[in-house]
Amino acid sequence: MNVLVLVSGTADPKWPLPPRLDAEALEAHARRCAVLSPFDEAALELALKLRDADLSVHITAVVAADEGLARQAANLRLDAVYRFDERRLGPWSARAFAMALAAALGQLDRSADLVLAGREFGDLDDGSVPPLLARAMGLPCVSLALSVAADADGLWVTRQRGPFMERQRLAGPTLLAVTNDTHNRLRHPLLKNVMAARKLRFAPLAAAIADGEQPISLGAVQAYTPAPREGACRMLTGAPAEQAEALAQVLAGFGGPQ
Amino acid sequence: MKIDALRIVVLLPFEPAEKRDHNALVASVCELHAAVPGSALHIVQLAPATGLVEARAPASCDGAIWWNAVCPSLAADAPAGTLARLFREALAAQVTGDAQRRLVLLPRGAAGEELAATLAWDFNGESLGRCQRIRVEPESFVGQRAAFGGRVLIDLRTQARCCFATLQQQGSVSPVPQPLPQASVRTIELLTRLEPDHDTQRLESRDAMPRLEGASVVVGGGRGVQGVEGFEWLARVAASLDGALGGSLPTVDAGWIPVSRQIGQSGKFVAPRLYFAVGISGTLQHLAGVSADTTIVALNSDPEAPIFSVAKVGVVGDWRDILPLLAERLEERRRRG
Ligand SMILES: Cc1cc2nc3c(=O)[nH]c(=O)nc-3n(C[C@H](O)[C@H](O)[C@H](O)COP(=O)(O)OP(=O)(O)OC[C@H]3O[C@@H](n4cnc5c(N)ncnc54)[C@H](O)[C@@H]3O)c2cc1C
Repeated sequence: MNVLVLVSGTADPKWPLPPRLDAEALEAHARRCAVLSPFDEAALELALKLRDADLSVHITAVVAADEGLARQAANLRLDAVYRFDERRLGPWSARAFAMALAAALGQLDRSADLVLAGREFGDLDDGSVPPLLARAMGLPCVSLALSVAADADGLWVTRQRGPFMERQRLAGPTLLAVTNDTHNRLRHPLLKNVMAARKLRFAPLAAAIADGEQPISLGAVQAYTPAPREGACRMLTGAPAEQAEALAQVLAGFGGPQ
Repeated sequence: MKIDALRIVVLLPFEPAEKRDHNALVASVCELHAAVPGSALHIVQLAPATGLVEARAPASCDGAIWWNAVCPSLAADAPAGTLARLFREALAAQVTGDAQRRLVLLPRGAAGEELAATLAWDFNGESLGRCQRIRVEPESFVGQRAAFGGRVLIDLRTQARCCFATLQQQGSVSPVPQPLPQASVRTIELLTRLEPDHDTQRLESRDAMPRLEGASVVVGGGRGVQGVEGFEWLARVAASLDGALGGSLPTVDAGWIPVSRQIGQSGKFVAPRLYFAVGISGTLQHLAGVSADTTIVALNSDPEAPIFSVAKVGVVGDWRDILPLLAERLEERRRRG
């Protein structure tokens, strides 16, 4: 089985933003401060679990970010790692990104039986790219995937749907938009694999981008800091019993059915 | 300023009448409609039958047309793929031969974002994703949205004739919706037939607690709660306030609550009157999921925790010292009525 994992990273929220906020500075910041997002990690872990269960599983990763992140993926001893250089493509149009990536993925010599992408893969903190990419690749998309496993009947995905979890048998190649779950936290790479990945070079996959205007452009940008909501915070002090009593009074003022 | 004839369409998945999650979205879209003179507003509500969802909009919402798009085999909580098929048919029925600009809005959330993207693809449009505000200009649509972990607000502009987005409700208080006049309510019988899905099995729900959506009190736990035991105390506190339980991303990763209860940028957006945050530091990625006009009460062991800068009332303390006493007192109050 050929598993394709797509990784894009996210700008680490712990790094301060650049002082100048415009498209160029934000794109540079996103590249410089990229870390694997919790959802990239979950997608990678699901691929590794499939290979743990069946050593014939072949994992290809395509990393839409700089070499550092590609190396982090390679540290997990994947079978092939490519870089998708999206530099000419701003992150603003999820559709343009999905189309270019789908065209680039067509250059891979193995066609994927399963595509795994983090649920916020390649976009601005929402979940637009995975369903668009599925459309561009002609695949069904299953979102909020928590785990995937193979048995004699094929591949089964467990996903969250509203308050329920469901198990769905995959009828054919599918793109899973993976979310975080306690069972898909990324393992630590083995030191020997990290050493081996040091020397790797990552083949680039070129983006097929039509010239011309981007369908979505960036306009005004402003830093956001949440305004204090209702003036200064009133602190409830005293011994824990006093604090608990005062807190109970405050909370009870809001509680009860509406 | 001349704006080409614009049709604003709101697509609402089926929700049982008592949930009313969509009222706030409809109210926000009505405001947008009022701000664009000459625009037409169409609200498309999916339902398994007519009469299950009342056609309602704020009284100020002049001229809105409400479409009941009926598919008899539709269930609540239908997956996004099914909703996309039904909305595609409903939209196609509305838009054939029509060269108007179209702005199609969906409720915020993972399903709404997936639908906006999928339908944008199908109708050769663009999706602006998760917007907080939308502006209509003569030649373009501009969506304002958070990005970079909620730390910047950006304007995304597209000249696409057909633009999709999800719109976040503004605040927790929206005007009380009134029934629309009968003349404004229409029905489309959808032809799409939903076959029984033999490939999907619902697993026993591991989550029977009240839902986060629409809760007027939410109790949220963070990494500082340190385990399932702390969440059991939080659940007791939530129950005694008729509230719902949620948590931050690390608590989902740790397996203390399911991902359907994650609050924040990648989780649910909640707009309760009260959010009681325990062991939560108050990152922008978490607060992105809490309405700006919700009152926050915080319990945290670190007096410098950023959550206190947005809280109205704070307690500096260890949850282990406070929560058992608090649960006892709240339960006692409840017993006394
Ligand atoms: C792409 C991406 C998406 C994300 N999406 C989300 C999201 O949707 N939701 C979300 O929440 N996060 C999200 N995050 C994660 C976010 O960046 C933070 O890591 C997270 O919000 C921190 O959660 P926390 O407040 O529970 O933990 P921490 O920041 O670790 O805070 C724990 C707090 O507990 C306090 N504490 C410790 N012990 C005690 C005690 N005994 N009693 C009381 N208080 C105590 C500490 O003082 C501290 O303030 C996302 C991150 C990324 C990169």
